[in-house]
Amino acid sequence: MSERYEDLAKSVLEEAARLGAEQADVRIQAVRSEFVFVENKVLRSYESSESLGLSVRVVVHGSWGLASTTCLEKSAVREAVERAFKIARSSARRTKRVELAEVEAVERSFSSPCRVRPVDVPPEEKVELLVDMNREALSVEGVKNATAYLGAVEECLYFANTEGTRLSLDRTMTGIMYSSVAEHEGRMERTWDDHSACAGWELVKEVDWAEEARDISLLAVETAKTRSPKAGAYPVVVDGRLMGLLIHEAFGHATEGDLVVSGDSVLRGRLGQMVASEQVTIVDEGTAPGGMYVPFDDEGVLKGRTVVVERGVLRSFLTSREVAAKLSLPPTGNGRAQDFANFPIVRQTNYYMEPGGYALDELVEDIKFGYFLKGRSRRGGEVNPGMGTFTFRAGPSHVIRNGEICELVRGVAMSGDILEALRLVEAVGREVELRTSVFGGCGKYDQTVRVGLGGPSVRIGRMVVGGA
Amino acid sequence: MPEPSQLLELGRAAVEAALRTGASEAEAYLVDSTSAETMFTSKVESFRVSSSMGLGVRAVVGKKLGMASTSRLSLDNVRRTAEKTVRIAKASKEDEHWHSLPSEFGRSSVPGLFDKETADLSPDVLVGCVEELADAVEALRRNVKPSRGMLKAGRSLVGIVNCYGQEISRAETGAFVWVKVSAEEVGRSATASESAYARALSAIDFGKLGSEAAERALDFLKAGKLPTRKMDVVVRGKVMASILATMFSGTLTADAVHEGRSPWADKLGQEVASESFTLVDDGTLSGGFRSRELDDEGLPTRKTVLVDKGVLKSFLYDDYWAKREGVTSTGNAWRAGYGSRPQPAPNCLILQPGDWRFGELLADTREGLYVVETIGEWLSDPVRGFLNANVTHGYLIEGGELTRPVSGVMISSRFFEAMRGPMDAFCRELEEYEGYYAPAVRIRSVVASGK
Repeated sequence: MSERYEDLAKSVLEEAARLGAEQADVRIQAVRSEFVFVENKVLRSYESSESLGLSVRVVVHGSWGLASTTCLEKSAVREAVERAFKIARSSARRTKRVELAEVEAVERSFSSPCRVRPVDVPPEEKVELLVDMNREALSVEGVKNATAYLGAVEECLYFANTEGTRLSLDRTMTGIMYSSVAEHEGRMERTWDDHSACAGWELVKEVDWAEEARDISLLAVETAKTRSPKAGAYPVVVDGRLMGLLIHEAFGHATEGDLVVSGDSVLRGRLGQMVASEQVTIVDEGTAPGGMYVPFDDEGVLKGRTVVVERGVLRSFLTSREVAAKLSLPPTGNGRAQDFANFPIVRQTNYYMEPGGYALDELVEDIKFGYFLKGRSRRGGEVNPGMGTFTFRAGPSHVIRNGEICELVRGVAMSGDILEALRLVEAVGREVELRTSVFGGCGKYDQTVRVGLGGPSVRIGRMVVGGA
Repeated sequence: MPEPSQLLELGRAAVEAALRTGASEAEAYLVDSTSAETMFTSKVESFRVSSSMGLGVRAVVGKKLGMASTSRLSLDNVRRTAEKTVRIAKASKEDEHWHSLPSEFGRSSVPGLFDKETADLSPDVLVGCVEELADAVEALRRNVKPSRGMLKAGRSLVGIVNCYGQEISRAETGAFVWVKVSAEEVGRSATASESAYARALSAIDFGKLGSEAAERALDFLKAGKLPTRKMDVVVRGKVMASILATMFSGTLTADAVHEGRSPWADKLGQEVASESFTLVDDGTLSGGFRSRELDDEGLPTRKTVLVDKGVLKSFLYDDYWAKREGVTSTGNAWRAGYGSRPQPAPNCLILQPGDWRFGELLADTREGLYVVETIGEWLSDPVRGFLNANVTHGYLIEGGELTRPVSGVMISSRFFEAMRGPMDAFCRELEEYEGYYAPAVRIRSVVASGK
């Protein structure tokens, strides 16, 4: 696609320069997607969509303007450029001068791995796969309801700016999210999982989906029979899936430079300070196995690897070009937008803790009584990045007794203060598993972007655990 | 903005292509919209304008349904999308309850849904609104400023065409503003938020919105806590409207009733609330934020009484659920986007006002809590009727008057039981929240958990 849109982008930038833009960039995005939902072996919805759009962002009189259109005819595109100018001029009445950190111009093309394009797979095959998963899930005794939701997204992005950067990306994602509801003595329990990747239909061929569906049903049945934990503060081992979410939500957002600038981050003014135990190193990395594929951001900055915390010391904040200039930090390639029509804002990519040296049995072996908290089938939570507080509801988890992982417990909530939790990290596991999701991502200021979550299992000396 | 005829022509092409490819029924739903959005603090942080078009096609083959959508509206691509819809329909399973698409469109007369100034989306006008708001905040004191805000305005044109020769369109505008104001003094800080939704920019008083939020933020620099106890609570109309959205938007629809997701399923004709409780869905409310002349299937909107003086009278229907149950659609079909299938959802849901003046209600209440801002209503359970909300901004009612600001109180109430008696006083004025409308309401004896 890059060849097709190169000329269009070039003419937009020329027009912007002619009108007197101090800086301009253009983003073109084409998306094809299919989402198929089957419940109790019945097809509930099959949504197939495609979209194409362009946006132009300009700096005029030191002020931003952005306009977008889904019509790529010449007149509509010219109108968008003019509109961006008008916006910038009107906003200039009441704005501070935009300063952007310098970045070197680059010309590159990227594609995420994809062997079989999922949107091209016939509808019948997709529906059958999901019906089979439901059949398998419902075959487990006690299971009342089963769902399976398939998502496939193919995206082409093209970026160009007046500084000479030209970047293109082909990204394909495929995944299935599935759930089961079991009932035991009048108590319902719903469990779910999501298996997605930046990959094509080959992902579907590599996984035994019937087995996954049966497994999530068994977990629902087992969980429905269990109890909630005893509330209190305990030593815990948090698995990589839950820890990844906790790190992203409770710590990652606080390292987003725009929140640091606006005073909404508990980490403001703490660069160079110890903010976690020495065991903890945290990175934000644009491309990582299993995670989201973000080789560059929506401002044309290459997203490499940013070390945010190094052996407990806060080393960096995540930045866009504007935020980098405000904080006098380097641009880290974290200016991401939900789609072409939105302004890039500071977002994480694949944000995770680096592995340590411990096997799972070594993480639990010294714990007399505690909990092994798991992220699979978790229930979400709430954080306040300005205060550093969090509450998360884990998925079905386990009691740890005398160094052994024992019985299942349900409805476990964990809460606390993220900086305290990171200070109490005693040991970090050696296995890292990153995941992403085609079904959604992280929301901020009304924009959703897909991210990568995960990391190693971690032992934390003390965590408040409650029943929910 | 294109002419409605241009949209309808593309719709006809889609329907024809679907029928040619083997569909027994087909429908095209088209949207053309332009919206402006500015994020601001004391100054404009970002400002964008987005124009987009989209087409969603529904095709039926026998009793099998398919949907596909596209934003690329060249004639060729419109036809390709229609053909793809038929392929998907053929791959689908039969829906034995499928009856047919609507055979006759219609329109209600609803004033105040389109405003020319708002439709223009002039950047100067929008920046002017932001200035008016921010100036009002900052005029109050030096230590108070907007810490984050959003102003959004837009216009849209919807066109619907189906295989029964039916064609219709509607044009609307809307505006939405939200602001969080921060106040700071040595060692303390506090925030307050305000929002407004309207069909016209001119219907929003930006200055008043800004100064109300600023005054509250300053008040809350000295907010205190409350010990846990039961108390009478007066809920501001805006907050009540948002509780209404949480409690009823997903459970009074025919699909929720049928699929076992509604606690009201077997309660039709029964007394579910006290005589002073009347709940209405009105798609024809003049200038209402969720009002429409016609719904997303082309059927006219109307006024439907859901709870009449405490008695549950009706549910909300789209065409599919109406035909499935042998009734008439209430004009409540909504689509999440042009590519999504229609489902029943409320138009303007209105809790009918009573005859209390606010001051009289406070005087009569003597001691209690006036709830002004809350977060976390999502903790509420609309199926079991538990209301939970974190009161971030409340005022104590002492001696029949508003006195000290309090924060961090969790209120919990068995809402469905409260409807039967403890919710005993309704004020005269309706307030809005995202197209939901309610007066200030008193609920007796609510558990307020504080420190």
